[in-house]
Amino acid sequence: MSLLLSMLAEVVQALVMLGGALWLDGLRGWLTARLAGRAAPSVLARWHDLRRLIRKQPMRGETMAMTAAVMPVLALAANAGAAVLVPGFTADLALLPAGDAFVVVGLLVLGRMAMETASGTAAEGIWGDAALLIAAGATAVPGSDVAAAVLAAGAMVLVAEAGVRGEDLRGWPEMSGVDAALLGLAAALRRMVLVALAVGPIMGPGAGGPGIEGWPVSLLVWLAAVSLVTLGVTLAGLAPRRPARMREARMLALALAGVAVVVALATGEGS
Amino acid sequence: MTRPNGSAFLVLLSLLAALAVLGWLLVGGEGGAVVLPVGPFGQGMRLAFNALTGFFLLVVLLEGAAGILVRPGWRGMVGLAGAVLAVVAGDGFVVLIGLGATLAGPGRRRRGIALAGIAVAMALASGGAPDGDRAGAAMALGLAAASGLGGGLGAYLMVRIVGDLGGMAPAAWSLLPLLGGAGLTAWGALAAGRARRLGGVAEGITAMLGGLVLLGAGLGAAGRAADLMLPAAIGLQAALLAATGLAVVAPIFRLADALLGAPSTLRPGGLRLPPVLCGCLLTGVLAGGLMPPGLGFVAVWTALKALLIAPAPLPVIGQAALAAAIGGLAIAVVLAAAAAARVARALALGGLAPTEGLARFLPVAIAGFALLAGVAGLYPGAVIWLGRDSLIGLTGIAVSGVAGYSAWAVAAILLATGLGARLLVQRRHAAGARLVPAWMDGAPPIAATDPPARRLLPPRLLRHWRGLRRLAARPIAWPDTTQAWLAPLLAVLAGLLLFATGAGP
Repeated sequence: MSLLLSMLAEVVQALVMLGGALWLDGLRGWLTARLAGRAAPSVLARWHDLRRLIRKQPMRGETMAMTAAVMPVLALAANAGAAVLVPGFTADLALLPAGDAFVVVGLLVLGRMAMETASGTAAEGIWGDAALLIAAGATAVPGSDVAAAVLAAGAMVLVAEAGVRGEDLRGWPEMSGVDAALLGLAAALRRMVLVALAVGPIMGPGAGGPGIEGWPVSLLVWLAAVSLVTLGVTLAGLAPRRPARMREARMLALALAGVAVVVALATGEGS
Repeated sequence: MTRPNGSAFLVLLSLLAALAVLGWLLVGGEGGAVVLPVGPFGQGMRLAFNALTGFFLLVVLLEGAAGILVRPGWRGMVGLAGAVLAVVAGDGFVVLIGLGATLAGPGRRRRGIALAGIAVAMALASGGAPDGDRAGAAMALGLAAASGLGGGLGAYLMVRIVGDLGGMAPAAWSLLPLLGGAGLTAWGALAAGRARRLGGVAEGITAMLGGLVLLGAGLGAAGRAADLMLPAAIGLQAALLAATGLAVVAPIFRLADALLGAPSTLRPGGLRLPPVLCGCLLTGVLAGGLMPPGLGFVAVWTALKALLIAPAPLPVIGQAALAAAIGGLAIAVVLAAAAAARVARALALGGLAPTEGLARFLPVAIAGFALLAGVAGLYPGAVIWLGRDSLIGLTGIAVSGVAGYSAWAVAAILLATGLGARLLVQRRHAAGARLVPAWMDGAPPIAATDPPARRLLPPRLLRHWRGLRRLAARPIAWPDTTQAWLAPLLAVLAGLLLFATGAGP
């Protein structure tokens, strides 16, 4: 029974991550347009975009046909893997024991590598991924102070903010059709995972209590927290800033994550 | 020049020997020692075989077989024989003889300097029971020299030095290899990303994995000195996993370099590799790029776990060193991923090199090494199980495999999601994609990704970086090749002198 419940929780988590990724992307587009004084698109616009792209036949340069065919699939698989392994609304997820925050960040790195290889453009965010890995380390020290978790979450939020802006500016100009759809879905999932990672250290899973009875409350609280972080990230992303400043934001995240890990090591209980 | 037949025979012999050693490790055989009547008067040549020796003999044999396949000839054969001798050496004299023989292989200058360093470290550690700081200095110097030696032999010497001196040296001395290991890991990843040829990528990956072994050995030494055996055991697990990577991951790139006619990482293009071979190379890219579910990632993951597990009893400087090591590893991971993206695009270039002689077996060898890398990445617990007796011997405790990470589950998730996406694409577009030549209908030609340094640093800092690179690239007058031979010769003589005076370790 417990196994069935945890598998059910995993299915719910996967659906929430997938739906949330597209919905939050749409919400971000809607909010951005409204704040800029333009007519806002539907919050489901992202979903419609993806459906339209999936129907289109992809066009691939013949010199990179195999890479272009494999890498978008790998990018989506890696980010979807991260989405089902990241701690979500409950701690009873079936796949949670398969990997920790390091594995989630590792899958995000794999996804970024696949996106780079597919699109042929160097994706921004090397420093951001390093900051994520260090921040994940800060949250993994047993018995560390809550200050370390707060600092780590701050670093993750900064990375999420820089990532959202970077991908908005760059897009996938070299991909077309279903390839672009797969990469777009992978990027949306990546943003959702980044936000979930940032929420995790502060809130922790299972706000509504253990068991299936607590799931609705846990899910609502978790979704509210994720939406709040997304709102904050979107509002911060509206500030006029040159693209070069995003690298500095990621380096700031790296410094913050470094402080977090120092605090975590100093206050941890050890083996 | 040795005829290819001789090299082929040695490759076959190495593989058979590796199989025998694997069988011995699987059944958990008893170790032993033998003294041959050659060597210094009254001392003989002592050869020993135990669990640690067996594990690293496997590493050295696989690595050596790949080396001979890539570059057949007597140099590789003598180098492999020297490495085997150094691993089964039961005393310092045999170690030095074996290390001297490895100078026949490529990289003589680096190996010569490393050998001189190891000889000095041995001299420092010899002469009765060394006090704490002398043992610490010998350990730090020996670990640095062994990391410079590189490859499976260097990894063996690092773990061996931790076993011999780790318990005697104060913990502060262990911080040097810890930080050096993290730095070398990041540097190796950067070098792999900067390399213009796959051979250079292999060198970078070898340095990166060597850095991981050094870091794991440093953790082992620190744990033994501070009586924290759990982090020590997990750190040494990371060292064993990284050493396995040296045996099965780095050779994939060397073999691919020979097979694909050294494709440039600067000009990716459209090679129609057979899908199986392409899959094998991507397995290597995944493992060398430190990404899950590859072997490299599990080594990094284990090292991170060991770094995070025991901070509380350490002083502030120790904790700062741990934090710096975590930072170094994180940067190494992202740099390795950037290198992997570069290599993955380069693998799609040019045609297969003409194959004759031993080169006919290169695709089979790549497939074999990729299979081993894949199995080791998915079953890291099996690698640790093979080295279980060594770990118990070094730390006194038995730690089960990798707890908290299931590579199989991650691989299954990737496979399931990937297959789902692939089916969706196929269902929608049964005819497949429309292929267009470069620049037609807006499809741009393939461009290489920037080297990692350009992506890491702002332009202002990049100028300084270029200056540093120019400074580092300035030729050093000493030692040239002849003098590099002289240095190990003097070191061997010093070692012999030590043994003659009864001051051997």
